[in-house]
Amino acid sequence: MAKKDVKTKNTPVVKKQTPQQTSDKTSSGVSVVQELGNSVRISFNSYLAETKNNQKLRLIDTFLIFLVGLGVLQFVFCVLVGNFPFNAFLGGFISTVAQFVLTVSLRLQSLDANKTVFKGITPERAFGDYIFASLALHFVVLHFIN
Amino acid sequence: MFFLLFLLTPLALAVSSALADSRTLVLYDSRLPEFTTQYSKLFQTLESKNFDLELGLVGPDSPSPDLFTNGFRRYQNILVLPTTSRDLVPTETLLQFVQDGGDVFVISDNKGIQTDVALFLNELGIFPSPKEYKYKDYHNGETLDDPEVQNTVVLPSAKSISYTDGSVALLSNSELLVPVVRAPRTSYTVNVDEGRLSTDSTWHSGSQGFLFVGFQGLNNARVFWTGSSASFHDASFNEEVVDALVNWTFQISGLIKATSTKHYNENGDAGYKIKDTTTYEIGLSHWNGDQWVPFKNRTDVQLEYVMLDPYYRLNLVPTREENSSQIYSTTFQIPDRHGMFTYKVLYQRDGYSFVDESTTVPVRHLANDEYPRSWEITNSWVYLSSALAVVIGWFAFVVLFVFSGNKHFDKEKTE
Repeated sequence: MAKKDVKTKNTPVVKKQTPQQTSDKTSSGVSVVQELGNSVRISFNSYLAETKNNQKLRLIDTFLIFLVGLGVLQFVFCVLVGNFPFNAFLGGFISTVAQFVLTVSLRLQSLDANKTVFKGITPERAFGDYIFASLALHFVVLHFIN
Repeated sequence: MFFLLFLLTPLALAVSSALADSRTLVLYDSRLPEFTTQYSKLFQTLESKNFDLELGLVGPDSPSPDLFTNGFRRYQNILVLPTTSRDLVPTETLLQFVQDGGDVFVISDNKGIQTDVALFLNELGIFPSPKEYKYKDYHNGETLDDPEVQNTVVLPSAKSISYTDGSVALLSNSELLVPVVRAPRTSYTVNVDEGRLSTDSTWHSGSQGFLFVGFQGLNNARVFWTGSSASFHDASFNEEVVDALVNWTFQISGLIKATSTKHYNENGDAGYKIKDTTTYEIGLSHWNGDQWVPFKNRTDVQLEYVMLDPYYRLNLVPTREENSSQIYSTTFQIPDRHGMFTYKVLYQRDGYSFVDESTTVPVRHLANDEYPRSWEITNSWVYLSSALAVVIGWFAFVVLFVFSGNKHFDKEKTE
């Protein structure tokens, strides 16, 4: 219920922005980059607005971004320097990927919209599962990296 | 350093046979003048080498001599002098004789080449000119003043060789043949009956023919053919040439053997694993006529390290002498491949007896505690630290998740 309220509150703000931008377009000409930037900004703003009252989701998303960054970093390093030792690369890379997957599933389970899907799974149960799975993952990764 | 893998190899077969067994059969045509009057010097030379001579006179009516009794070879050596006899020894018997390790010395000339013997030589890739084909050289006459010697192991030096009533052989491209003296460029062989010189009536022309040819089988049995008996004849006896050729054919010269092979792991382990450093040594001896002496100053002895294909083919370097043998050795790193590897020395040089030594060893892969740990490899520091960052980040995330931003859950609970 709270969420719906948030949306209704925010929609006017978004709408306010759009006319301004369209006027910008007409003045400076249509630019794909600009349009893309605008849409990104819009979605980011709407995201901020949506998760305004939900710090946990923001925390989860921040962690996800951190994981993606770390994974990309390793992949680039592997491409540039070579995949030796391959097991270490796999361990490091897969640990980010798997942690990402686990965290995403935690996010799914803690979304209000999905409450009907995960019926009977309390948020505490979901978080406990997440911690257990993550610990198992770290255990395996450390051993695999050797 | 441990020398845990030490392998002694048996003496080469040919070597022991040459020294222990010297029964020699001399085949001679009974219709021609007496052997002793014609070939007494050859006879003396053979006697002086302690050959146990047996004279086999073969005539038109005489039965062919038995080379085998109960399947065992009766002679080590056979010397065939020029003969026109129709039935001497069947070709198959001669081949069997050589296959069994016997040595055959064939002397023929333009009149006396025996059909069975010629067929036997053809089997080996030596094709002597048939009867009535005569060696001619109008520039040099019937004496080779400066013979073109192709193999100095068999014939170390020859100043002048008489080649009267000669026949000439063409050779196949068999690798087992050891050409010794090539025909001069100005020579040719012509059918004397034909009268006219044509491509049909000549057997060879120029340097495509050979006058002295050896053959050494993979079992080190030797066969020698020459197309003129002049050098062996009392009238123009050439002791230098006869000595060299008889020595080679009857296994006195050109003999080498591997006395020992040894291989070991440089780090002292009993076995081998990939990328270990190994040393291989082989001892080679050379028979100088009286005793075994080190086979020295060779730069072409090679070791192959084989698993299906040679992974390495390395030159062996002479290192030291040991008990009348020269030790050749090399040290190399085993490739990054596990399996059954063979140290193989296959030394086949024209004129020398063949040395073929191989030892197969297993090379294991690394045990699972022999690989380097990841932190010893600088590349993996990136992955290690990022895995660690995931763990730390995750821990921080969990703590923050539990202790902050409870709004959402609280609201849920209140609802």
